[in-house]
Formats: sequence, C-alpha cells, structure tokens
Amino acid sequence: MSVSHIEQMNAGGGVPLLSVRHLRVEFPSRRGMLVAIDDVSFAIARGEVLGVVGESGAGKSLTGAAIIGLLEPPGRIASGEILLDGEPIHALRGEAMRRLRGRRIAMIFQDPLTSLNPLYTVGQHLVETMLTHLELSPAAARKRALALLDEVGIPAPAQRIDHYPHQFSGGMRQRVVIALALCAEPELIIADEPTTALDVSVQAQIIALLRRLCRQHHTAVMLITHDMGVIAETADRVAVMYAGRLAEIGPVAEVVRAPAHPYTRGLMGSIPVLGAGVERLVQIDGAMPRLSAIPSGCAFNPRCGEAFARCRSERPGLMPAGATRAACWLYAGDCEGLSAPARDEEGA
Amino acid sequence: MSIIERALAKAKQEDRVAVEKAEGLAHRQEEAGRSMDLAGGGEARGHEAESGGGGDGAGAGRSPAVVGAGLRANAAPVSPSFVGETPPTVAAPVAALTAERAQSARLGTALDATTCASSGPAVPPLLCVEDLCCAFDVSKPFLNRLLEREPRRWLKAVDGVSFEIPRGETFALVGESGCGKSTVARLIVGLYEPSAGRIVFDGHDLARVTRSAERQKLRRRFQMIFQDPYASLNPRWRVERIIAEPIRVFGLERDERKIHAGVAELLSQVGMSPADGTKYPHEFSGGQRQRICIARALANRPEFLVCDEPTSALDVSVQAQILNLMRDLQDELGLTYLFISHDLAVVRHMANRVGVMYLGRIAEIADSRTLFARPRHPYTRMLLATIPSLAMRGQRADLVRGEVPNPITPPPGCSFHPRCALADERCRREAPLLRALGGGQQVACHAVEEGRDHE
Repeated sequence: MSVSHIEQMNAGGGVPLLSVRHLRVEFPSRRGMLVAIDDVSFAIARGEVLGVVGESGAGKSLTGAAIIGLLEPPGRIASGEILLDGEPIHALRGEAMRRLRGRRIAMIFQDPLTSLNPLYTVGQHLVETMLTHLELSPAAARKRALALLDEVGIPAPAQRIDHYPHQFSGGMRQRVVIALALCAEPELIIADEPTTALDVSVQAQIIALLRRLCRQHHTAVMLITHDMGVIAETADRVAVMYAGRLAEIGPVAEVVRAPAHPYTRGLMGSIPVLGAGVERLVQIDGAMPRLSAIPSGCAFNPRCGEAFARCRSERPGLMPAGATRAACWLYAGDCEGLSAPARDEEGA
Repeated sequence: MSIIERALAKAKQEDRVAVEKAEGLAHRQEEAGRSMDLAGGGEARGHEAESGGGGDGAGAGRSPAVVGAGLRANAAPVSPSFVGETPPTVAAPVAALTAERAQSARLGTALDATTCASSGPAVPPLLCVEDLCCAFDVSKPFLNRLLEREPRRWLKAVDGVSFEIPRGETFALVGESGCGKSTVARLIVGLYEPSAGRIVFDGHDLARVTRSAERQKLRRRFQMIFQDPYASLNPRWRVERIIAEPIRVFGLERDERKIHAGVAELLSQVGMSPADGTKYPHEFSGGQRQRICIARALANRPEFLVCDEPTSALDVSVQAQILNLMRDLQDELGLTYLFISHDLAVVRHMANRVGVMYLGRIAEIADSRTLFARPRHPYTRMLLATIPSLAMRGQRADLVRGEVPNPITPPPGCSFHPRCALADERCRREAPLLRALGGGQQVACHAVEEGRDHE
C-alpha cells in the first residue's frame, strides 16, 4: 500500500484501525506523580506501518504496552482513550482484554528467547494460540502452523515444528515469534524492538520478512525501535517521541529528507551515514530529562539551539510543518488561526 | 595394567594429539626453539609458575599439570604454558618444517602485513599483531569425556589474525557477534593469553617481556574502554576514586592533592564538571558514564586505547557525542585506537583502516575508504548490504542470507561458504589465505583470487 493511499484514507474520514487520543500514562511514586506519556495522539490506518522512534526512556515501549493493556502496575492510563476500529479498548479488563490480545492485536518482543516458553515446542506455541482464538480443529491448527513456519522461512518445518525454542538460533526464534504473532491473523502487530537483539545480517532478513508478511496479510504494524535506519526502510509514517511526548509525526520519506523538529534534525544528524564524508557528527548536547524533572514548556527547550521565550513557558501541540507535523513553536506562524484544534486532528 | 589405567593413558594420548592437531600450536612457531622460549615466557607470567621458575618446566612436574589442565574449568584459554607441557614426542624438526611452510604460504602473499618487526616500513607501527590465535577449551570434564569416549573440543575464537596499527591512527575490527573481535581486544590488553602468535607493542613482544616491572611499564601505555558503562564502573566507588585508580595502581602520582587536580582535569577533558567527582556512577546517564570510563582510561596517559564497542549500549544522539569526543581526544593527545564495533557506519566514521572478521579469521583488510567504496570479499559485501540506509529505501539486495554458524563446529574450507553465492568445490575444501590486491587491500577469498567475483 502506498503512502499516499494511506494519507488519503486518514484524511478521507474513514475510521482508522487504531486511534490513540490524548493518552497519558502515569506512575505514582514517592516523589510525586511521574508522567511517562503525556498527551500523545496518533492513528494507524489498516495495513499501515507506523514507526515509533526515540531514545531509551522516551516512552515508545510504554505506548505499545498501554495499547495492548500490558502496563505494569503502578503504571496506569490516567486519561485519554485508545480506540480499535472505533471501539474504546483502554478500559477493557480481564477476559475481554485477553480475547483481544493475540487475536486482534499481537505483540512481538525484543528478545525472542524470553518471549517463547522453553518447555513448549514451537508447534505447541502456535497450535495453542490458534485453538484459543480461532475455531479450528487441532489437526487443522497444526497444518496451519506448518504453513506458517514455512512462510516465515524456517527450513524443514515438518521436523522443526516439534523442536523446542532452545534448538533454534536467535534469528530463527524471532521468525517463530513472528509466526506466532501472525497465527491468529491480527489486525495490528505491535513490534517492540524486534531486531535489536539480533546480528546485523539477521536483522536485515527479519525486517524484510516482517515487511513482506504484513503487506501480504494486510496487517498494520506499530514498529517501535531506536534505529532510524530500520524505520526508514520499513515504515510508511514515523512518529518521533521525546520525553513521553510526540515531537514529530509524518510520512517517513519527508521526515528523513526534511525533518522539521529541531530534535528530529539533531537525531538525523547524529547518525553516521556511509559515504557522507562528514568530519564531525551533529551532536545534541545534554541528555533527555528524567521523568521527575521535565522542563516547563517544550520538553526539548534546554537542549534546543533555536529555543525562544515561548518554548520555555508554553507547551507546543502538533502543528503542520512542511509535509510533516511537529510539536514546535517555530512553526506556529504556519498555522495562525487554527493552532488550537490542529493538535487534535491527528487522533480524529 | 587395569582397564581404567589403560583408558586413562589412551585419553591422555588423545588429548595430546587433539591439542596438537586441532590447534597446531607448536606448528605455528617458526622454530622449535622459539616455542620453548614462548612457553617459558608464558610460564613465568602465570602466577603458579613463579615459584617453580621459568623456562622449560621439569619433566616430573608435567603429567599432573596435563591432567589439571584437562580438568580445568570450561572455556579457559589455552595458555602457552600448556603447550610447553606436551611432551616433545613428535619430531620437533618436522613440526618446525611444516610450520615454516605453512607460515610462508600464509604470509608469502601478504608480505607487507607481517614484516613489522624486522624490515618493516620506515616508521614502525605502534602495534603489530602476527598470526594471533586463541582457542578455548570447551570440552566436557575429563571423566565425562572418558566415559562417553568423546574427544576434546576446542573453540577457535581467533585463528591466525594479523594486522598492524600505525601510531595515531584508528584500526577497526568489524564483524557479527561471535566472530572473535572482542577476543582480539582482550588478547591485546592481556585479559586472555594467546595460544599462539605474537603481539608486538612498540617493538616489544608482549609475551617476551617477563619482568613485572617492565610489563608494568608497558601496560601503562595502553588502556581499554568497555562496552557497557553500566557494568564497568564500580557502583560503590565515587567517580573520583574510579578515575584515580589507574594513577594509584601505576604509582604515577603520590601526592593526594595532585591526584585530585589530575582527576578534575580529566573530568573537564571529557566534558564533565570537576564537581562530578564526588558523585557515584548511578547518578549519571549512560553517556556520562561512558565519559567517566574514557576519563579513567586516559588517567595513566596511555598512547593506545582498545575500544570494545564503546557506543553500542548508547542511544544515537549520545553515541554521536562519544564518537566526537573520541575523535577530539585523538587529535589532542595523538592517541592510537583499536576500535571494535559491529556497526559499519560508525566504523566508517571512525577508522582509517578496517579489518572484517568472520568466525575468528580476517576476511578482508583495507583502508576505510577502499573498503566501503570497493568491498571485495562476499562477506564484506553482505555486511554492507545489511546497513539500513536512510536514502535507498527498500532496495536491500537479497545478498543477505543465513546466520553465523556455531564456532565450535565451523564449516570446512572457507568458513563463509554456506552463506556465499560464489562458493564452489574449492571453497568447501580449502580455507583461503589472505592475499594482497594492491592499494593495501587484502582479501581471503578464492573467488576474488580467481576472478570469479565479477558478475
């Protein structure tokens, strides 16, 4: 599916598959309330790959966990809503959430060794998941499991289906996890750093596989990673997160070509690029603030070279900035007159 | 002789043969005499041998040592002293001859890389590594092997690696996990002992420098930066004490006030505040911790830094800070780096010269510019194809396939052949040697040598 088509769908008023509106996740602590995710809104269309990028602690994984209902207490969704196909899912508990999880939204974790049960064979993992979510006979489930293993590129699936996770290499395990995520034909897969634990040559294969399968099955993906290169190759749109907030969101080609937010620009400049004979990398001085000490106004203002008075006092919402949307007062002039409703548009 | 005794004797014999065959340790030496020398050096280095005296150990002491070595914990590196303990039953001259032949075959075509000590270039390189090998014993315990009739098993983490680093330059080793790049780093700083080969630092063969005072003097001149700044700083020490540790260990300064001033200077050198010295490591972020690690590494004024994945645990924006800092320090202090990383883009940014490793061997060495412009070895090409690029979206070739095999049972011949599109019968049979292509580029590949790599 092309980017323009997705943009059309988003703009054309069709209900997006997933819509996150003003999400706020809090962790009560002894030193007061820590706001890990603060007023984050975005949408994912059917079949779309949304990349979520940011440094560690930016809140990307927590966003994923909040969507699939895996926030660890004491973390909780304080306000905002998460809609799947127009229905709110953020308040679902217990059995209702379990029916959804794995069936309509699946998850791929970073470490394939810890996300598979060492006491079950690969086949048991797949068959159990299918029997839980789909109306299939055990024999049919096994047959489908075999087909899936073949599809994710595991050689000799007829033998491998009865092997245990430890008998697979890291890359093969991650293929199994992808098969497991796909086996109930979910509408959305949340992939949380799916290739970070893998070697570079394996990483390339897994990314290509994930991209191909999601296109074929028409599954939407929320791809969480810190690797801008992976996003650039895989995603249709990208959301850049900083200190629990969205800094910028837009079509990936535009964000890569002409990043609008000063943080995105710094992030792109700090990636060493092959062939570019730069003597010095662009560096963003300082580090991301701790959750307990997020500066007032724009969270990025102490590290930003272009900050002015308004950045320190008032928090910017997402506003149009060229072809993307950035939470930065530099672009306030572009949208004079519609600044207030502009930031709600993304979630609607 | 009872059955057990006979079995014991047989097992010992097998062990010995396995050591010699699998390792070719003695064979690697140019002459038998030098192997004795090396063994002597190694023994004098080991703590347990200090009382027994160096040189060729006494015959009576040997056999228990062999058993002891056999029972040693898994994954202990095979030290040269162990080599010396294998009784010289095999005709030494024969071994020496084959060794010489192997050596000349290995080096003949790549002469420029291995002549550093004798008739090298006008300016001798700061570090020269020759035919470095390191094998780990991953056998089951002795009794298990005896009962299950299993041979000894070796993991050749590093197998015949040679390179040199001129003063003031950065040499990078790249490869995937398990290719032996970190083992090379640890061998050079002396955290492991090589099974064979030489490490020559500024004209001193590290294995031959046996007197502890001299070793100490050499050791002061190189330092290491580790990958994980969360694990490499003592959480119970204040930053000041951490950074001052090398100064105290090497006895560079006794006056506490001067040490304090030195630490303050080091902290500002790496872009931190001198007041940070009174804090504990947990009060800092990953990037700042890595700065502390760098300050500690600089404390004894080294000339040579071994950097083992110094930015792999950091976020990209912090990585840029650390890489810039390392380059600034290099310009300022004239440091020489051995830079180890799996990230080719980072390596391209940092290195003058790059060695690509695969399963313990060097697949290709070239100047950074040449390597990235004209990669020759199929593995290098594959690695380059894996880099997710910001510009060429979705054009990643189908070049990338397979995974790194288990290094305990590497494929025969060229260890890359199961993943290589150019592999033929010869690649499956015969391990390629590193050959010079001109322009300082060396490639270990039959296909490149035969000109089969032009599609």
